[in-house]
Amino acid sequence: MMPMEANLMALTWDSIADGIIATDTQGVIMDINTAALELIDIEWHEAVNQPLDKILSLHDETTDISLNGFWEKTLKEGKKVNLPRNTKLLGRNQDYYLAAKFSPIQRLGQPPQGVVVVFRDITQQKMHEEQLHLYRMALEQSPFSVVMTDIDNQIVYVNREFIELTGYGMEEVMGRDPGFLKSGSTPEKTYQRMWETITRDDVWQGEFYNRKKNGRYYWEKAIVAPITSPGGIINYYLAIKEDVTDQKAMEEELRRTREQADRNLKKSQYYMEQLENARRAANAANKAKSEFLANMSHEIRTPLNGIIGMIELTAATDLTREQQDNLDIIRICGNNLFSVINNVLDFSKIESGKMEIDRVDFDVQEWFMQSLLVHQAQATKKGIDLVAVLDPHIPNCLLGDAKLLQQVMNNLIGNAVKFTETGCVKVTMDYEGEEGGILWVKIQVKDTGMGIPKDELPRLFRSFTQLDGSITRRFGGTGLGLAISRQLVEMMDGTIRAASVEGEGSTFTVTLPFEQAMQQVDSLPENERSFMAASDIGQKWTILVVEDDPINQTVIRSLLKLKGYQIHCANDGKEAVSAWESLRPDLILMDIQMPAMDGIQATGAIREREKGQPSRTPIIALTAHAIHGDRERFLASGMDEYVSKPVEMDRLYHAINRLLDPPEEVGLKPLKQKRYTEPNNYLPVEAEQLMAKAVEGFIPDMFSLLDRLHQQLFEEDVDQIERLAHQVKNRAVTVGELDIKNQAFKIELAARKHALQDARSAYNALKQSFESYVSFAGQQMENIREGGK
Amino acid sequence: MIKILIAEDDLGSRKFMQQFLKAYGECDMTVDGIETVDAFLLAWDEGEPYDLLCLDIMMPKLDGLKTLKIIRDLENDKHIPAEERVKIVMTTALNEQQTVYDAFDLGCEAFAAKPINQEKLREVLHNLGFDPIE
Repeated sequence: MMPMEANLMALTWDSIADGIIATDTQGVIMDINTAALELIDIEWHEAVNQPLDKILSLHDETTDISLNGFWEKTLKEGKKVNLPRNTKLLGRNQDYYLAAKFSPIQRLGQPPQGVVVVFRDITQQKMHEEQLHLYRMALEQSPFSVVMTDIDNQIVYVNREFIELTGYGMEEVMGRDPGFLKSGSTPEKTYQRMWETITRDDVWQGEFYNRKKNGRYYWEKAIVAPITSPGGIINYYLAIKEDVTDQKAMEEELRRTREQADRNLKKSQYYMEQLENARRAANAANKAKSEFLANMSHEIRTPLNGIIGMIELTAATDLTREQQDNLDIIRICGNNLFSVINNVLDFSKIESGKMEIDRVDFDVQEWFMQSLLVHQAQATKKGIDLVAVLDPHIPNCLLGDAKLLQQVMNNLIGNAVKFTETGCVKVTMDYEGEEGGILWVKIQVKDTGMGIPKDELPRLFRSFTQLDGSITRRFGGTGLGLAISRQLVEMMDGTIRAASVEGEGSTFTVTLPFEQAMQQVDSLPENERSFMAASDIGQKWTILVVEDDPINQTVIRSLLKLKGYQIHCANDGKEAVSAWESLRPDLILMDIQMPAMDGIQATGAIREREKGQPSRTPIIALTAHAIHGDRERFLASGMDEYVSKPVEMDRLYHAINRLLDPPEEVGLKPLKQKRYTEPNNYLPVEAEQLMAKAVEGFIPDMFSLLDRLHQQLFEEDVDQIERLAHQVKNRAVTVGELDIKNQAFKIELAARKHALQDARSAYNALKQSFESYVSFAGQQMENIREGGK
Repeated sequence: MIKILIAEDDLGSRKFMQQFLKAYGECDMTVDGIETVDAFLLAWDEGEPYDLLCLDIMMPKLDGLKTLKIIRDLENDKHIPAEERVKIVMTTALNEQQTVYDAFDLGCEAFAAKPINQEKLREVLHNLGFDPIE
């Protein structure tokens, strides 16, 4: 081969774009080309004959050391040497990244004559490389899993995250179709849609449910984008995916929670509905209960009224002794039934919360006396004293429910009288003081009766208990009396207590608060107060009885006629008004519940017609319903008074008396004197002493009892005889006198069968036994006294 | 003339029994269990025991069943032969099977539920050997 012409060679030498430096075997630069000079930025004369290392300042950026002596290496080893990657040429003004090759200048087989180094500035390249590296790192280290596939859907690249996530190694996935990730649960449609989207050069977003190499499943959110060449042709697909398994779990959790909340909401709505239904049902039931109570009250009381009325009527006719006796029993049964029914109805009323407490002014004295009067007769019959003491410090009038209070008093005083055979029942009403506008009053009922056993005291006020079932049979009653009293007292914000000593007596104490009365009415002047039923009127008054029930009409008419009144009747409100027009009666008894025109309307009509006239006919309302506010209602509509049905005749007479001009008082002496002074026949302490079991107590008692027994045997009152004989028997037992006891028992039995002769002979035997006992006892006492001296 | 003891605490029932039974003999009336036992013993001590006892179950102090037991025990103690024992008819307003069984166990002859059916009572008394005196 002909060598190039020397000039051409030189030209070529300087035209080469890479830098060339040739050195001798000592590393001294023999020649350097233009490119090299430009790169290093020196002149030819500055470089030639200089050591290579001086001119070509090389620096390894990685290790940060200067690089030299490569020419030596080349010479020694006799072969080409490449410079390390990050070699930098430290130029005068700039540094360049360099790629350089050292080669020995030598002919084959001959020793080298020098070194030639060829180098080029690769800074640009390096920069690009760096940039590329950056991109690579971005993809590689992305927290997202990156997969690149070609148009044949074969994987050309996956990043580290992909590997970590799926568990597949690089070698396992390269060149494969990414379908191996499918779990089978992602619907085909998803993939279809994805392909449709990306093949038309759009970006697709969606979710896959995939499977890792270890079989675990995971959710990933993916964005798949087509990569186009500059020409616009899609040549790759880039999928960037995120593991959203946890998120999905949370979403599911949230969804479930929301569903639960929804369900709970529905449940509570349902419950609300149920509650509403129950409430409505309860209200309806409650209303039904009230109506039932009211109806029952009426339905039961009406025929009872008939029975009791008829009893009275029959009693007033001519009867044989036997009929009289039988009727007495019917009367007792009727009265018992009446009070039992009242107790039960009251109890029902209280239990269903329908009992209401009135707040009305009432005259204390009148109320107090009324409460006692009712029991006077029975007390007298039993031979026990009924004593009343009213504290003068109590105001004339108080605000409260007089009717319910009277019921309580009735129960307590009634019990006291019922369970006491000898001695007295003392009723006191004391003023306890005022506190914040409330007046406290203490009412005590103290008796010298049989007392209550200590262990029974706690059960006393509970419903349905009487001390033993036998008491019910012996004394009558439902066992509700005290329970009702307690409930009433407590409804009135008071307290009720019992204290008792068995065999000596009991004390019931009721403490109640009252409000000041609206107006204090002075005690009505005497001639207007007849709280005793006047036994005989004598005057001919005309009374119009307005009542739609024929039996009630008959009963009231007959009973009033007996009292000497002249009676006319009307069957309803309309008739009442016309009867009043023609008759001008002295008084009207007006039933409230009537057909056509009721009592209130009739009263209104009459009052209307009376306007401008001087006189005013007194009208008394008769009603089976006595509910809260009725009294005011009646009074407001023009009535003067009201009496509840079934009619207690005493009450009716009293009311009639009050409204018509009453004559001077007849009957028992007025008890109101007791307001200011203690009565002088009041035996508190002596009553106790009567119970003494000492012989010295027994003998005087017996004398007195036997005396009375003798009298009763003469008067032939079998009931009294039985009662007295019973007492004698009990006293005899307390001192262990069996003979006396047996004889007294015989008198009792005889009295029960009305065998007076037998009773008398038993009495004689008894007297004898007693007399021998007295002399024996007298002897004993003598001996004791003698002994004590 | 037979002697009858009526043990009944309710006035109405007592009156009724007395009215009904006075046709059969002399009637004594007691109002509780204790009186009944007392009357029973008293009659016995005087040598004129009762032939018939109408015993109410619900009575104060001592109820009918206990009274029944006491009377039968007393008769046992005295070794009274069966045909000479007082004939006892229990009466009650209650209607409990157990009570009826107990009464029969204790030794009563018959049982009459209140309100008492007169026809039935007549029949029962007849079966016990009691008939109204003409």
